[in-house]
Amino acid sequence: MNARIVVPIVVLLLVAGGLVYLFTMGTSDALDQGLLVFGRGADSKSLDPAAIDDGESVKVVDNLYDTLAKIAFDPQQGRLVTRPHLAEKWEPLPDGKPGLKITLKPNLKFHDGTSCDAAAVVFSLKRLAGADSKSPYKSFYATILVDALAAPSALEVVIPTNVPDAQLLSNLSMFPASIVSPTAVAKHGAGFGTEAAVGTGAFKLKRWERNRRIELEPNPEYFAGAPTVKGLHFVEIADNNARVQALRNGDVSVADGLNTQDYEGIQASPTLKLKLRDPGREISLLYLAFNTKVAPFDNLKFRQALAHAVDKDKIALLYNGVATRAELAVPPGILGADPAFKGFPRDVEKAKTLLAESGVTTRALKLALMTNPRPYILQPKEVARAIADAFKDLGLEVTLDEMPWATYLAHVKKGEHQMGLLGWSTDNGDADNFLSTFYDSSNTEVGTASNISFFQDKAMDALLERQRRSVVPDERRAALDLTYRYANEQAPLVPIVYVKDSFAHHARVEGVELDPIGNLFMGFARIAKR
Amino acid sequence: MGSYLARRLLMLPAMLFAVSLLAFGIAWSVPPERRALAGVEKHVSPEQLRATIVENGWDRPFLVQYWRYLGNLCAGDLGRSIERRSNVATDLVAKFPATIELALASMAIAAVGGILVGIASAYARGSALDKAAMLYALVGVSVPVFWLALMVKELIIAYLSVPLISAIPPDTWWTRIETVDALIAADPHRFAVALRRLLIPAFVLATVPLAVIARITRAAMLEVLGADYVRTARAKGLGEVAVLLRHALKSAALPIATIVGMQLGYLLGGAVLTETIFDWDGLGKYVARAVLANDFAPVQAGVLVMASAFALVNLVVDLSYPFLDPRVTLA
Repeated sequence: MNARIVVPIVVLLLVAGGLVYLFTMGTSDALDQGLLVFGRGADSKSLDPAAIDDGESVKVVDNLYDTLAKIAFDPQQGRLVTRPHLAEKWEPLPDGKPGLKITLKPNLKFHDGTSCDAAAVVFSLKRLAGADSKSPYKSFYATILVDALAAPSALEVVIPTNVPDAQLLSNLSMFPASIVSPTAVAKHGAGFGTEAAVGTGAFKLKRWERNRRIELEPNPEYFAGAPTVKGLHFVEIADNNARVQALRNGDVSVADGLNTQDYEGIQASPTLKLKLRDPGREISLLYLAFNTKVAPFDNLKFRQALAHAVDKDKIALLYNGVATRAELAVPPGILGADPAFKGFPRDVEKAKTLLAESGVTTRALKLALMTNPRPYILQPKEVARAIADAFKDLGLEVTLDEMPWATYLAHVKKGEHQMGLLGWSTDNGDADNFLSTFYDSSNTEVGTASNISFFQDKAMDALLERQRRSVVPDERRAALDLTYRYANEQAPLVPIVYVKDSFAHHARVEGVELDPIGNLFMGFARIAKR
Repeated sequence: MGSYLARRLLMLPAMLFAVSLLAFGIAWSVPPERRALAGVEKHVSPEQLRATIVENGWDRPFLVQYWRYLGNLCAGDLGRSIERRSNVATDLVAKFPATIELALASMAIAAVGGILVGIASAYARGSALDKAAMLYALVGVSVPVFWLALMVKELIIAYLSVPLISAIPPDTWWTRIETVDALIAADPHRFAVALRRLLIPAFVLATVPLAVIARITRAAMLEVLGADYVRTARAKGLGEVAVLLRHALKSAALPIATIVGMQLGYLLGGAVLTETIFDWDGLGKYVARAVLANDFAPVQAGVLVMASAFALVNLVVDLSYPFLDPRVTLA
């Protein structure tokens, strides 16, 4: 045959064969190398526990550092409890003053080989709660008397507070209160958290390639037992679909931030496992906030009318079984929640009556929302439409005002909205974390408000203060009950749905579970043989 | 030529100055409180917001801010990303190689493909091949690249297992261009993974430039194919390939080089949409995320890089004219 014909055909065949090989060859062998690769939507911002508030940073920090206590679910009591972690035990201060005396476990070591003793704990807490703290969580530790923090011996720490603080232990269990190596902080200064991140945790920081990959290696001296995996990598895959696909083809072995549409496929796959939070243990809430500073939302009956009109069940259906209707602004998996509480039911007739009684004649309303999904609102526009439809039953016309997330957040924090959709997921597992965020008048500063209803009410503030100071469980229960009822009746916001958090992993990965406050600790992960 | 080059190079800073003023002005027009919120996830106090504003000097008058920005710029300091808490210059050094890789790969596909299609279509003018090629060229320039990227990605996710993250990076980088590094490291698996990841976005990104180049090539070739010297070349018995490539294409090279250069300039600026859709960790994705987060330092820096890349590539193209056509002199 003519070479002029043969040569192009051979070249074509080679190229085609090469492409077929490229797109069908096996992919990653990370699992066989004993590596866990965690795919998530974005990179961490910093690995300094006292400088962060973003979930992607917390995910890594949880595996690098430890806290004095940890929050756990006690199946016998059916509720959350705080358990000793770096601490061996704790007790009230001997002189009856508010605060705690904590005894540490012996022989704790940081990754840099220095000793994690009482002085290191005092150093870490001063860094977090002191005047120079850069932590967005600083206010959580405002009751700690920083100058009176003391280390009477190498294993004993005295943490005095200015008032009794029902949340002190919960807050000490949270990532900002992670114990950091004072030597490493002194050595790296402002670079701590980016150049180095030295704690006592199950993993040590090996390398961080910004916006690409964080590599951790096991800490052979971890006090709760060295991890058996050879390494833990966190990689950024921004797109939700792409992340699931990476999980399917083995590029990553654990992934979160999944679309609910993918749940069915993951559950059907023999090589993948889906982990969904148990029903009744949810820790995230989606709510509809009314800006009480602008008319007609300053009108109590008008707000109550709207609260009666929202069709929560219909909205829950949009979540493919990942959400249940919310009765209360505190999800049921939270310490101090009341699963028996009933909020306003959907009752259009009642709503119409209340609307008439309110005397409000405005019929055109605006609902602000974000364009992109968040963990607690997977389809913002669909949810907003369902709300608009429900309000139509009262003869109200709702226009949707969509914005990208960053712009939206600034919009509602400045109080430029009438109504807005937002969510909250727990920080410390305690009810007050939700209540203060939503209802406390001290969180209504224009521009930074977390109380985006701008609800300022003396009675509410007093109730909040009371439950915060009740360290005796029964007293706190009673104080919380009053707060819940008052918050429901005032309706500055409508709790809509409780949302389950989730993640998926390769079937060969074992021993990774969501903890009660939504963290993923990988220190006990194992990789099964093929 | 020397004075021409000097003049062009002198114009570059002036152009960059204008671009920087524009980019800075746009960022400045957004209230500082809004920009300071870029890094906030859950908690922020008024004091912290204030501190971010003061730290970045956003409370100062426009001229003071701009002067400081220009000073930093001259010192190579592109500012800090509020959202990512990182140094923008360091980020750009890490991101730009990936953009170069994607730009060069898709430009290679577009240039080779576009020129071949253009030549074939001019040679067989009016034939079915010509009509098909020009239909492709029309569709190619009309299809929005983001739509094509989305469709292709959905298909890939449905049918192929293309890795979306790079192979575990080695301890040392040479060029930070994954395919090149894999070759230097003589690691065939890593190269195969890198190539597979590169090919699809590169082909998608090549669609529009390929169509544009094919049209320009066809038009330029048609003009010269009827010329006397081409007839002479044929008459003295040269083969068709030699006539097309050595005589006709060489004369048609000027407009083709111009369009290839322009397209490369666009691509080097970072394909914002394609990179975002394919999760390609380059300049385009970096800037897109910063735009959505109201994080302006990376956006300003990205705009400057895009403008510089465009200007430099065009300068190179202009300088190449005398080599492509000896009649052209630069003065």
